[in-house]
Amino acid sequence: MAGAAGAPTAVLDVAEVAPGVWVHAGQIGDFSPENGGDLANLGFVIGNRCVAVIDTGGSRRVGAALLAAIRIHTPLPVCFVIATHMHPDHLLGHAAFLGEHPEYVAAARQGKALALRAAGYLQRQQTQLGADAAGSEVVQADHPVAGDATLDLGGRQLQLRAWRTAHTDNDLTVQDSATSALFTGDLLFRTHLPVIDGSLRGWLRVLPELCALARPDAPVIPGHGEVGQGAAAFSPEQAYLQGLATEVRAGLKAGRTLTEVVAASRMPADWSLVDLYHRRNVTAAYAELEWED
Amino acid sequence: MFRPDLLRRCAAPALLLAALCVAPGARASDPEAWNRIRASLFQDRPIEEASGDLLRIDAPNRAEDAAVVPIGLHTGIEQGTQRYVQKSWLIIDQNPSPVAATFTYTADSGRADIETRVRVNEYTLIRVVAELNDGSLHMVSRFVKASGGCSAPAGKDPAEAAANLGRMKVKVDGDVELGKPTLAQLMISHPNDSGLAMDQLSRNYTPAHFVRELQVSYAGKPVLTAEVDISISENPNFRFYFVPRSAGELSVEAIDSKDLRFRTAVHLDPGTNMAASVRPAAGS
Repeated sequence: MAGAAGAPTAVLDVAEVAPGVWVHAGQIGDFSPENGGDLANLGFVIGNRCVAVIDTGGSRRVGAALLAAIRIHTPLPVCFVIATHMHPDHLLGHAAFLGEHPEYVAAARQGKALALRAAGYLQRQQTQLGADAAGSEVVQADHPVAGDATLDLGGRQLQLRAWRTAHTDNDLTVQDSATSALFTGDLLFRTHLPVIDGSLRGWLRVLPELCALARPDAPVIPGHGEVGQGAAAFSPEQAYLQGLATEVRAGLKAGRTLTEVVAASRMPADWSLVDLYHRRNVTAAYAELEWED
Repeated sequence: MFRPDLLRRCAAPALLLAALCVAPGARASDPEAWNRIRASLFQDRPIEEASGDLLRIDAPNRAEDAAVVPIGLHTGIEQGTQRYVQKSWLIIDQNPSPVAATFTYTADSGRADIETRVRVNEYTLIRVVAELNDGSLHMVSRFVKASGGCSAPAGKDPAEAAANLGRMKVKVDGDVELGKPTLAQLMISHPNDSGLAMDQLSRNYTPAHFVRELQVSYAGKPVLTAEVDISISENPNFRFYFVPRSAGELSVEAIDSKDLRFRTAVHLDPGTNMAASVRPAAGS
C-alpha cells in the first residue's frame, strides 16, 4: 500500500480496502518535485449509480492520475468530489474533475478559510512543484455541509460529518454505509506526525467521538499514513496530542516562556517529519493553551 | 502534508524564490530598507553598535511559525539609575510596516526589557534601537529566517476569535517585593488583522484591525507606553517589568485601530502572600 517514491505516474496505484472502496496511499513528505504533490491519501467509493471521490491530491496532475485509476475500475460518472479540509495537498487536484461536472462537497466553513489562503497555497505549490503544478487551481465547493449530510451513490450512501475546530476549522469525515469504511481526512494521521492548524483542545475533544464511528472490522483511512482498522488506529495520535498538551501545560504552569518551552521539548519518537512539524506544534499549542483558566 | 507557515506569504514570487533558494544573508545585506527606516526615525543622529552588556535581542534563527516569532529585548542596566533607557524601537527591516513597536519607559519600569511575538514576512534583520536618557542611540540586530507571517489570515478559528475580542489577562507570577523590578505578562485576545490577507472569493482584503497603543500604570503612575503595529502577532502578548513601591493596581489600557478601548487591572499587595484578583476587561 505504501506509495512508491517518485513523481506521480499517469495512473495512481490504488487498492480496494473494502468492497467498492478504493484508496491511494500518498507519500509521506512535504511538496517537492520528487513527489509532485502526491502527499495525501485519496479515495473513491463506487455505487450503483455513480462514484464519489474523497480528496484529489496536491496538483491537477495527481487528480488526473486518480481519475485515470477510477476509469480502470468503473465507467460510472463521478457525481461527488469531496474535500476533507482546506489543505492544498488534499484539494489542488480538484480541477482534474471539472469535466465530470460533479458536485464539489466540503464543510461549510471551508469556503471562507480557503478563500483567505488560496493565493498563498497556489503560490507555494508553484514554487515547490514547478512544472508539476501546471493547471492546478482552487475549486470552491458548491455543496457546503454543516453538521451531518448523506450522499446517495445508488445502493450505498456516504455519511458526511463536519466537525468543530480540530485539525482545521473545516474538517469533514466520510463513512460508507455499505462497509463502514471511514475516511477521516487529517483528523487522523498515522506515521506522519500530526499537524495542528486548528485547535489542540478541539482535536482532543473530537477524537473520542470520531473514534466511536470506527467499526472494529472496518478500514479507517487516515489523511496520511497506512490504512488502519477500528478504534486502535487512533491511539498513537491521541497519545501524541495528549502528551503535547500535558507538556505545554506544565511549562505554562512553571511560568516558562514560549521560547523556553519550545527549546525544552523533546522530539517524539516513532513518527515521520518530526523536524518539520513538532516545534511548530509546540508553538501552536502554547499560543492556544496559555489562554486556559 | 505541507507547512502552513511557508504558505503564508504575500510578497512577489521573485522574492519567494529568493527566500527559499538564496543563501541566508543574501537579503540581510540589503541596506536600502534600513536606510529608509533610519532616515525617517532617526535622521542623521549617530547610532552606536551596542555592546552585549547594554543591549541584547533574543530571536530564533529560524522561526517555527512566521506568524508567531518570539522576540526578546534585554538590557543590561536597571532603570532609574544614572543611565537608563527612555525609549526603544523594535524594527523588522523587510516587513511591510517595519516599525513593529515603540516602547517608552519610566524610572518605574524597573528594566527596559520586553518579550513579545511578531510576524515576519520574509528573511530579515530584526533590530532594536535604544535611546538612553543622555539622548544617545544604541542598536543591536539579529537575522531571522521566516516568511509569510504578515499575510497569514489571523485566526485558526475566526468565530472564536470574534467572540473573544478584547479579552485581556495580566499576570504577575511569584512573590512581589517592594522596590524590585517585577515581571508582568499581558495578553490581549485580538486578531490584530494586518490588512494583508486577501479573500480570493471577494477579491477584498480583510480590513486591518489591530491594537495600536498600550498604556500601563502601577498605583496611578505610568510604567510603560507602547505604540504597536500590524507586525505584532495575533493575540498580542507582552512581558515587561515594573517596580511596585507600595500596594496598588497594575492597570493596562489597550486601544485598537477602531478606537476600541480595553482595560484590565490586577491588585498587588507586595510583601504579603498576595492573591491577585483580576478585574474583567471592559470595552467602550
